[in-house]
Amino acid sequence: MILFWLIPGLFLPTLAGVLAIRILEGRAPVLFKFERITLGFVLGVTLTMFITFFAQILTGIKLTVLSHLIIQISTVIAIVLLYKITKNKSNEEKKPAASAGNKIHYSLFTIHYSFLTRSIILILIVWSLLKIILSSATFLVLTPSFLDDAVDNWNLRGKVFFTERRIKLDLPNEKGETEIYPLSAYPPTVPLIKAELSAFAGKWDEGLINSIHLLWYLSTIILVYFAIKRSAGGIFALLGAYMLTSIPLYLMHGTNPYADAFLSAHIFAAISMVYFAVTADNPEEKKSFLRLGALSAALLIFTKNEALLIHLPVILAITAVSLFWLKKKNKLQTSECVKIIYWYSGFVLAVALPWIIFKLANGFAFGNAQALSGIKLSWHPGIMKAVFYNTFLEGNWLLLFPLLLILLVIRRKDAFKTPLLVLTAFLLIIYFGQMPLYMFTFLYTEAVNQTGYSRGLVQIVPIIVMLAALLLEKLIRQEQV
Amino acid sequence: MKIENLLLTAVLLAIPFSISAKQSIVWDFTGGKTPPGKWEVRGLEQAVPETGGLAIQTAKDGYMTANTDFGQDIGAVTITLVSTKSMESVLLWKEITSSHSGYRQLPFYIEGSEEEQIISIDLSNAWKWNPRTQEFGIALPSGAEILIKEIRFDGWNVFEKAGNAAKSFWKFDRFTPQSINFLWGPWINFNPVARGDMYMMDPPLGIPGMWIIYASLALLGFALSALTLAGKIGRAKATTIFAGVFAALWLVLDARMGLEILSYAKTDLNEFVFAEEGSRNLRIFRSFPETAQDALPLLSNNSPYFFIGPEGKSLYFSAMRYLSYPAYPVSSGPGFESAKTGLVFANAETGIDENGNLVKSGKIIKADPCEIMKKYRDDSFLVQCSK
Repeated sequence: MILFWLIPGLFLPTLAGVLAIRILEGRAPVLFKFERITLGFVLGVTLTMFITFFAQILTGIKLTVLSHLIIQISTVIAIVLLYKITKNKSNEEKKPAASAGNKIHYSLFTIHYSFLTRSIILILIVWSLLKIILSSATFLVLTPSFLDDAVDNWNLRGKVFFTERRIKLDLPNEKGETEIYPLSAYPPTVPLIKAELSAFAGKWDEGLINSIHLLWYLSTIILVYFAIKRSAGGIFALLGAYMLTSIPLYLMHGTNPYADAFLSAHIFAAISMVYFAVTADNPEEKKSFLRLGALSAALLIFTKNEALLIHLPVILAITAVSLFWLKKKNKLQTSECVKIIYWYSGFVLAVALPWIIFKLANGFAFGNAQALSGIKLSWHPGIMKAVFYNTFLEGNWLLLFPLLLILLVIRRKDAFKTPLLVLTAFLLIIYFGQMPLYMFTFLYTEAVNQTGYSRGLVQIVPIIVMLAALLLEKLIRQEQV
Repeated sequence: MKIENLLLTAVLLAIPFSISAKQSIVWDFTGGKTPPGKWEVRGLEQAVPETGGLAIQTAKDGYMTANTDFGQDIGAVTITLVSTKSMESVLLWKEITSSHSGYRQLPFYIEGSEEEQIISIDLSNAWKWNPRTQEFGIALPSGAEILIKEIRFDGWNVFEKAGNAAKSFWKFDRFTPQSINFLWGPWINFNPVARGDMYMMDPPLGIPGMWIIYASLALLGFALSALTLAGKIGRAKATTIFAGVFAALWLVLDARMGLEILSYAKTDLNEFVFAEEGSRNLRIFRSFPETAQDALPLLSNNSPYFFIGPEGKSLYFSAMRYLSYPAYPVSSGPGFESAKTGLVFANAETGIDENGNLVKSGKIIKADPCEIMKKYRDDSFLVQCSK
């Protein structure tokens, strides 16, 4: 069974991620246990692939099973050593601060739900699992992936890395002349983990290398579940998880070898941690969430190109405003805020600098599908119609956007005058911030053809679902009073 | 009002609609008949009523029209004909507004065949279609040789339209390369002809089904607001009802879209995974995965190899590069000229001429003596050039 190789291939990266998260949580372990493992997998894979990438570039080490193991074990050891140092430093550590996540304990099968409610929940769980299992088994494992980005980018580059045992940036073109492949400008986490899994398996297998996408998809659902559970309890967490699994285009991305669901997991981690930092009760928990947010934000850079240009600046800006607010409200001391800024700066620079230097050194563009340099501005008609169709009239998102709009209107105070503003602001800035690019630049094709616009929404759908679920919770609780 | 009264009212209201059940108007050209009405033929050199139907032969473009008074809503037209030649033809109807004096046109395609063909064309979504038009006809291109047996106009009553709308809501699209960017979702059409063709177009024929959802929600919201303002129900109850209906519609849409995605999986399983070897097809790529898989051993041993795929579809080249790496394909330049082995996939314009040259659209693209090593389905073959 080829999928067995997922276990050795992902164990050390996940362990590295879990340990890194546990260190960053410090004295306030704020995450649920399973949430920590899930986030550990998401961040751990990106972290170890980042280290692998630069280790290969700088040392020329061949990407064999042994070298992967050496790099990953070294990473784990380094993190364990860091853990020891930080543990010794805080030897006075008493009981962990009460986890924000563990305060609300709603258990699905102990609370007084009616038989009908429980039946509906059970049916929706079975239905969602059926969709995910059948579509992922078929599209990821049993059939070849002939989608543009799979054969041009993620899978192709992974196969090149695996075959060549190194980071190779050039490929023969249609004339057979070797040249720098433009898509080498994309961060290599996705292809590199595919190459790593293949190194373990000893061969390139479509089913194996594609199955990682399902894990990223499931991880995002799990992260959304625990995030909502922390704030609103189990029933709303289930509701949010169901909402996310029901979004058709997100399911398509989760069960096909594209990298937008993968990116969405990182974005979700980075911005939701800021939200929880603002809502957490005590400074230790706030700092814990912010340190996790710093690592998540930094690793965003190594996911897809648009993360560095679009998502990271917005996340950093919102984090800065949140820190300012926390300081103003005396929820954090100045010294604590400064430390958090150091954490963010350290992590972001540690990832961004080498990556940017690498890109500049190789003359790579900084846009996503297309370079953003030399943009000429002109009005492109038809954008709003395409956007409206995609958002409201097609089958991509069910009723998610009407629901969000209704909730933003009727719960505007919650959306704009409570810590939920962190999520609201992120969504609105990202969404409306991209619109001028589509309306006035050559990127209008990304909206008219519903390519970049759709994927942009896929990347933030988990945040939309979380915001909608939390606003719903406030609405329902108020109606119950 | 009691429920019995409500039902009775509904039945009485429905009677006028049910009287106008589906009706067809048939123009029968067989047995040398000419359907009633004033006919006008322009440009067509020969249009002769024969036993088998109206025989038309013309070396020039032309058209024929008849005065019409359908007197009912017409949603589709079905033409029974025989034409050995493939051609694009056009339906014509006269616009009845003062602002437009010419004919409205709706092109359709006739596939050449010795057999009798029945071609159904939706009119309900045609631009500016008006069933009250006073003139309707058909235009044919030069070189047409066609026998028209019958032209039938169909209209559907309100219940049939509602039934077709419901069926079209649950009709699924197929998994295409664009499905990763957007899913059209439910669309609404009101006759079976439009429903059958709806996903063949981009965007689909008809209107987005989401409009029905939004209209339902808007009506409900309006009614609940009115009832709340009138003090008939409380705000909390109104909110609960609205939220309940909203949730129910979400579930309906989830079922609709979830089943569509599962239908993609089912098609893939039936047509590819569990299909017999040699007949496996994957979505629009048809036999490509099976062909590529079979050709790869030879191609990989002769890298670079040349690859000629369907015109304008670079994805096939990308897929070959991915599948065969580290061996790689070439499609132009010196690499193409020197490559000895290659694969032609789904390109009917490419073949080997009598001199052994590889030709594309009649032009020699490789002058070496080439021979077909293996033929595949879908106009595909593996080729070896010896020089």
